[in-house]
Order: sequence, then C-alpha cells, then structure tokens
Amino acid sequence: MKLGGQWMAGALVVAFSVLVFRLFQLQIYQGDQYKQRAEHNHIRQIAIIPPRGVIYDRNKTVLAENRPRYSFFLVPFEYNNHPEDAGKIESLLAISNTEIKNRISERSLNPFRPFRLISDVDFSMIAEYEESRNDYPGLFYQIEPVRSYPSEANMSHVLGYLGEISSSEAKQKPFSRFEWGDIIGKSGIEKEYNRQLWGKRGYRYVEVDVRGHEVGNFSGLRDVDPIPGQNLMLTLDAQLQLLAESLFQGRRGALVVMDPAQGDILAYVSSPDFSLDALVNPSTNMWAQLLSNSSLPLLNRGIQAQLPPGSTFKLVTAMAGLKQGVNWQDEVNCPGYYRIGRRLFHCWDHEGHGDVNMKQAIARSCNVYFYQMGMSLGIDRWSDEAKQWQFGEKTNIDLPDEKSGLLPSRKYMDDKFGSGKWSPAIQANIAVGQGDLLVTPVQMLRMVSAIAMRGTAVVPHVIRGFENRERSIWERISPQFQLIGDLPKEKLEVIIDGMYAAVNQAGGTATASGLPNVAVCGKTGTAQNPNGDPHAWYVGFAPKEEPRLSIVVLVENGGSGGAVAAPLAGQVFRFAYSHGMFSK
Amino acid sequence: MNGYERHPSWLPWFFYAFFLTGLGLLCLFSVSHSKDLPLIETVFGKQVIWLCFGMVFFFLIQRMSISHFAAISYPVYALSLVLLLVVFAFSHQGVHRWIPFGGVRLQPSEVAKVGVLLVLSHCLAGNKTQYLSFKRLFGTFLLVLCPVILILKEPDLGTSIVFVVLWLALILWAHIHFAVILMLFVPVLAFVAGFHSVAFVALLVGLAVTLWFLRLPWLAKMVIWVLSLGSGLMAPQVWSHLAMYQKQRVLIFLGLQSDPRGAAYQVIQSKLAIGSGGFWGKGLLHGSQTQLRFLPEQHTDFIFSVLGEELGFVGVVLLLIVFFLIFIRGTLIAIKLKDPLASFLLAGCVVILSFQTFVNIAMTIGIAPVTGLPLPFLSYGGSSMCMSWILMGTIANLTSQRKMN
Repeated sequence: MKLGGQWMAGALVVAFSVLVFRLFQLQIYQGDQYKQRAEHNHIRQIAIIPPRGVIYDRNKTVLAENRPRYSFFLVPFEYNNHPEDAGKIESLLAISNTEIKNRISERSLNPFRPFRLISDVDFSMIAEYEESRNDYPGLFYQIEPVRSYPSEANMSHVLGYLGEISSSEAKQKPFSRFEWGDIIGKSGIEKEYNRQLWGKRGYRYVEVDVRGHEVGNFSGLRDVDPIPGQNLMLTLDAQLQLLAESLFQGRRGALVVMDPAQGDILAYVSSPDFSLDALVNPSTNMWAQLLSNSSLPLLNRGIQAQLPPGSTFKLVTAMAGLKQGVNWQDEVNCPGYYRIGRRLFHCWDHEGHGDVNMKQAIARSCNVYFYQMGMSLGIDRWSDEAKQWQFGEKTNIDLPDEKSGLLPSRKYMDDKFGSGKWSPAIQANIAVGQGDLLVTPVQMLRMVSAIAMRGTAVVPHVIRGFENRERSIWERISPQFQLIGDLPKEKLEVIIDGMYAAVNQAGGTATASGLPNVAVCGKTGTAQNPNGDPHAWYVGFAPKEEPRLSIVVLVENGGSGGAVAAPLAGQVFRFAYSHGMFSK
Repeated sequence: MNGYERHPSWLPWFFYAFFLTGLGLLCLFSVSHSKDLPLIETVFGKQVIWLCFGMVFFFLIQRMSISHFAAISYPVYALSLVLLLVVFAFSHQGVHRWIPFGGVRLQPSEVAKVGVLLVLSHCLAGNKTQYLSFKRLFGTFLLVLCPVILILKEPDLGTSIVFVVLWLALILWAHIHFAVILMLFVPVLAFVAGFHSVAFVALLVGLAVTLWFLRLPWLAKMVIWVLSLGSGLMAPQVWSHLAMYQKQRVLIFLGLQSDPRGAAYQVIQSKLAIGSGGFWGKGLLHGSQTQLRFLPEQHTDFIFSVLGEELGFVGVVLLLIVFFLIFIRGTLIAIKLKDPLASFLLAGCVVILSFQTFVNIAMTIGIAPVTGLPLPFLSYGGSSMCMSWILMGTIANLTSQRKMN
C-alpha cells in the first residue's frame, strides 16, 4: 500500500551502490595512481600576504609604507626527520640547533605547519640557499611585505608596532580571520584599524616534492590575488609632530595638540618612545630592554598615564562654584595658608596672594581660594561637576587600550575609609587636583578643548579617513560632537578670562606659554608626588576667540608646571603661528 | 502488556551507533593527537564527552512511549523555532549558526531536525482520508517552510536541503495522489530547465502534451502546468539571490567555473587522501595526507577522507555496511509498523541520517557539491553527535515496541 516504503529501500540500495562503486574506482582501480601522487607530489596552498595599507599624515606625507623582505620558514617535521642535514641549516642561517629546537617547541604545535624562523635575511643567504636547496630539508623562503617608516618623526605610540599573532590573540574574535604566523597590529592605530589595514589574503597553489620543496605552480587551480589593505590618513601633522617630539628629548611625559573644533589630533607625543624601524625585526634582547626599562617606553602616556592633575583641575572646581551661584567677583583673602581644624594647608606662595577673586585665583593659581571653595562645595557637588566634564570616563579616542582615570566620589571615600571616617580636609585637597584624583592627559585635553569651544566637546581622533578600495576617493570620518559641562556661556567666559590672565598678566603662572601676536589662554599645574619631584602640567588653547589649537603638556617629575610645561606649550604655539596654523 | 510486546531489540541499534562513533573517534584521535596537548583538550577528548551525552539521550528516548512522541512534537518544534530566531543574536565569522551556551556552542538547526521530524510525523499520521488531503499537505509545507527560511538566512544551504528532502520523503511515505507527485516534482525539473530558454519552452510544450493524455482532473493539469511555468521563470531570480559562495560551489561542482575560494582544493585533497588509501589503507596515524593536515575541515565535514586514507577500502566498506544495515532495517520495519505515527517517525529518522550520510560521503569523493553537512556519528561536533544519537534512540524505541498484529 505504501509507495514510500519500497521507494525508499530502492533509493538506499542505489545510493549505497553508487558510493561503493565510486570508492572502488578511487581506492582500488585508481589507487596506485593516487598513492603515487600523494607520495611524490603534494599540492599546497600557500598564502600570499597582502601589503598593509599605507598610512599618511594630514598633508599626505607618508608615515608608514611597505617594503619587501626575505624570510626563511621551517617545517618542523622535515627538520626533525633529517637530523643529518641540521648542521647545514645551522651554518647557512647562523642559528644554533638548540635555538631552532627551542623555537620549535615553544611555538609550533603542528609539526607540519611552517613557521617563520628568521626574517630580513640578506640576499646572499638566499643565493647560497638556492645553490643547493636540497641540503636544507623543510626550509624555504618567502618574500613578504613589511613596514618601513620614511618619516623623520617617530609617532611610535600613534602608529603602533606589529608582531606575529600570539596564540591568545588568535583565539579572540577580532582575529578570527587570521592565521598562525600572521603579522598583526599590536598597538596604536595598527591595532585599532588592523582589519582595514590588513586587506585580504591571497592564495597560490604549488606542488611540492617529498622534501617539502616547491616543484612548480599547480595548474589545476587558479591562484587568488591578495587584496591590499586600505590606505589611511591621520589627522596628525608630521612637521608639528617632529617639533613636539624634539621638545621631549630627554623628558618623560606626554604632549597632545588638537584642533578643538574638529577633534583632529595634530601632534601626539608620549615620551620616551621607541623605534618602530627596530621593532620590524626585533631581537629578544631588544624586547627585554623595552620591557625592563624603568621609564616604560611602551606605556602610551597620552591615554594610559593616570596621574593627579594638580592645579589644572582648579578650572573644574571653579566651574562647580560658578554653577552653585558663586559670584566671580567675590574675594577671598589668601594669607598663604588655610586652616582646617588643627591642620594648616599652605598656598604654593607662602607669602600669600592677598585678596583674590576667581579670575585672579585662576591666573595666579591661588590654592587658598580653591581650598575654601572645595570645602564650601563639598565632595558631592565637586565630583558631580567633574563628572559633567567626563572625568573618570574614557574619551573614546581611536587608540586602543585607553585608561579611564579615577574620579573620587563620596561613595569612593566611604568605601576606602569607612562611612564618615574620612577627614573633610580631603575635599580641600582634591579641589586643587591632589590626592586620589587621577586623570589621563587626553582627558585634560578634552576638558580644555570643550572650554575653548564654550561647551561643545568633540571626541578626539587620530584618523582622518580611509581611501576606498579602488584608491579613488578618500572617505572622511566625521567628528562626533557633544555638549558637556552644562554651564552658561557667560560663566565659561569667566574661566577663559582667568586662563587668559594666567598667560598674559604679570603674576600669572602660565606666562611662559604666551605669544605676542596670539591670545593664548592656559592653566598650569604642579602635581605633588610623594615618590619624587612633582609632575608638571599645562593645559591651554589659542586664540581666545575662535580657538584653533588646544594642548595638554605633562612632564613627569618635571617640577613646576609654569617653569617646565608652559614653555613647551609656548614653543608649540610659536611653531604653529609661524606655520600659519592660526590664520584662516 | 497493553497490546505492546517488548523486544530487547534496542541492543543491536546501540551497537551500530557505538561502532560508528568508535570509528569516528579513531579518526579524530588520528587528526588531533599531539604531544603538547593533554588528550582531553583535543577534539578527540571533547568528542568522548559528547558521546556520553549522546548515549544518555539514547536511553532516555529509547524508554519513551509512542504517545510521548505525539505530546512533545509541537513543544519541541516551537522550541526549535525560538532557538532559530535567537541564533541571529549571535554571529561567528559572519554567520549565525551557533548559540554560545556555557562554553559550548549549540546548533539550533540540529534541534530543528528533531522538531520538524516530530511535527511532520504527527501531522501526517493524523490523516484519516484515503489520500493525503490538500489542507494537510499545505499544512506540512508551512511547518517545514518556517525553519527552512530561518536556516537559509543563517545562511546554511546544506542543512535547509535536509529539511526539504525530509518533507518530500515523508509525504511520499503518506499515501498521496499521483497528481500531487507531478505537482511537486515537475516544477523542480522546470526550475532546472528555467536556466535555458529552449529547454524550458520544450519542457512546457512536452508537459502540456503529456498532461493532455493523462487521466487527471483538469484543475490538477492546469495547476501542474502553471506551477512549472512559474518555477521556471523564477529560477534566474532565485539564482541571483544566492550567496556568492553558494553560487560558486554549485558552478564549481558542475564544472562551469574554476575554483577561486578553495572548495575544489578541499575536494582534490580529499580524493587524493581517500584514493591513496588503497585497499588496506595506510594504517591508523600513518596517513600522510591526514597527518600533513592538508584538509582544513578534516575533523568535521571531511572526516571520511581520514577514514578512507588510513583504513582504506576495507574500512570504508565496513562503515558503509553498518550504515546500510541501519537504514535498510529501519525502512523495512517502518513499512511493517501499523501505528502511522511510529511509521512516519521511523522513516523520517532514516531519511535524515541516510541523506546526510550520502551527501557527506559523496562530497568527499567528489560526486556531490561541498555543502558542509556533517557525517552522522563520525564528524566532530556536539550538536550533530547528540542529534545522531537522539535519532538512533528513536529508531531503537520504535522498533522495540511494535504493536502486535
């Protein structure tokens, strides 16, 4: 009765007969032929690594491009199977057998997977290899594109270095398309935009002989060309960058310059830095030095240094006061100290500033004024205001591994000392940017830029745009704007007037950053540091109306902000002025 | 005993399944053993854990009564639809095929195989008329269509074909009118012909003439002809909606295009591995192709090529015999079963397992396109392993609690 029953049994018989017949054909009828092909000729799929996208500065100066290099790869299986030839490889590459064995055991799980044994070899070595390559079982070379950096400026922390993908990275999602041994971005924009810069891998098919050496192209399969990575334009200005880097010779710290209206980072220094050229083919020794160096050259200070901001943070305290209705003209007498309970808090100027209003207090950086303001505000209103200016949060700059700093709140203090058990004097201390408060230079830059733009913040970024795949159009990345601070414009003008006075008035702390022809506004900071000399800070912008540049300078253990950081900012402004960056 | 007679006949089914899984484990061991990894961390070790889960499912299901199958059919179906929707929240390398679930990945389309099998059988078994009614036919069509669309969206063409084949086989298993068979299969022919205008016109004319002489209701003749026309006209549109990789696989298989993405590379290497295995094979752990890791998917879709290389013709024929025994015994018992639900369920289990087995093996020896269907019991993967054992448990259950004549 059922049609399906017999039909299905019949179909099964036919299907399985087909399989058995085909297997008989493959394994028995053509078995010997296949066996021969398997033994004497392997087809191998060889990946062709695409050249990485070229990185330009905002004026299309090349910052990072590609050059070819020769690298030797080794198949561990072949190497281990021919111990009699190991000595020849040793003398060709000048690598000891023990080191090769170490490399094999530390890096390769699969003995058939070739790994990069030595890079950037001399052509003479290739020639020697070609003369008698059968002496070197499992060894072959490939030409691969690697980075070269024609620009004079280092920019190591913005560009970032490259390296072979690690086994832990290979398991992470963003690297799912990458294979063991691929060179990927490890820091900076090389990491942040790795996918776009990488492009797409190509393949060619080759036949290899028993010893794993290429016999020729396999004609049965068509090769696939790689797709080069996308070219990328930075917002940085290579000339300004070069100047900024030279200013930091021999200093530790960070200097970041931005267009506050657009969020374009124009110069970004984190010092000390490192040579990207040297890291293209680093020795183990070099890595050990970089990692053990006590001044932490690998730390990207602009986004990763978390330090107390010192007096630069008085700007935030002042804005909190204005928001609470403090009149800027109200004066406070500074006798050079401030008493809380039985403790005396000193002004940096032990002589005292006399009667100061808010603008003067900013200009001369009077501690007593802000101690008093911090105490009358209390920690809640102060930390609310700092939160409005997005402290304790990442700026979302397009560089990887940004830190978010630390903004203490009442809850933080309660957790640390126990509820009600902490001294109210802490409120005076953090009001002048000391104590537990930690900020990154880029966070300070975001704040001062938003003040400069009268409340409009922009997400800082180092990428201007990508060239499309056809290499015909540059696609700009549009900046993201946001209103922050929530302070009326006329109150912001008080702050800006104070910063202007700090630079342009006798007795101001930031006069060293001034320029005769440009209305510079700035604020210095000297962050006390229990472990050594204080950190010197400077934040500022210019010109006062329609600002073109904003800047943050941090010199770790540099000393006074006015004496050390402000002059560096002044040099940047002077360079910018002479290169027409303030003209329209 | 309630009109049921208990045979201890689950035992042979268990051994078949265990034998197949064992062969699979041998192959997995061969591809994954390594000095540097503890055995439990290799795919071999993980598959052993999945085997344990599979056996638990087998015994749970083997003990269910037939009324339970009816009771759980719609809940399981609903659950699989929900899972197929949830899977779109998760993306892995650009496709939505797995739901990460406490360290493992669940493949909802495997759950859906069981769910669709249950509802189709339940629905078809409820038919009381002589021929399968149109309403019911259409109902089953809709039941299959929902998961198929979702799975096509994942995208996973190979798995969605399993559902279509299951549906076709089960409605054939039901008593359907000759006209309906024509209605289903002629449009498929027309679809293929639709790519060539002359062939298409010839088919339509030939069909019209044939229908003229057949003793069928006029309405049926009209429907058959119009469906064929429509399907042929749609063919180029459907083609243009296929994903690039799907088009390429079909074209490469048909020999119309050389291979830019490496699918043919896989098949060449797979054929080389199997062919070079010869009669006796190269011995476990001694397959040069396998050990050279020429095949990227050798522990999942191409596990058969490992078997073919290392255990040779002897090994693969042994494997085919066991598979064949399972399927033919299942089919013959399904024909005899009086309970319609049991009969449909059993036939359905056989269809799913045998279709996947055939397509997977055919792919590795270059007579079917690369579809990515796993080989039941052998391919590495928790969802596939559990599904295979669940279907086997169902087979064992239905064959051991036959209704007495």
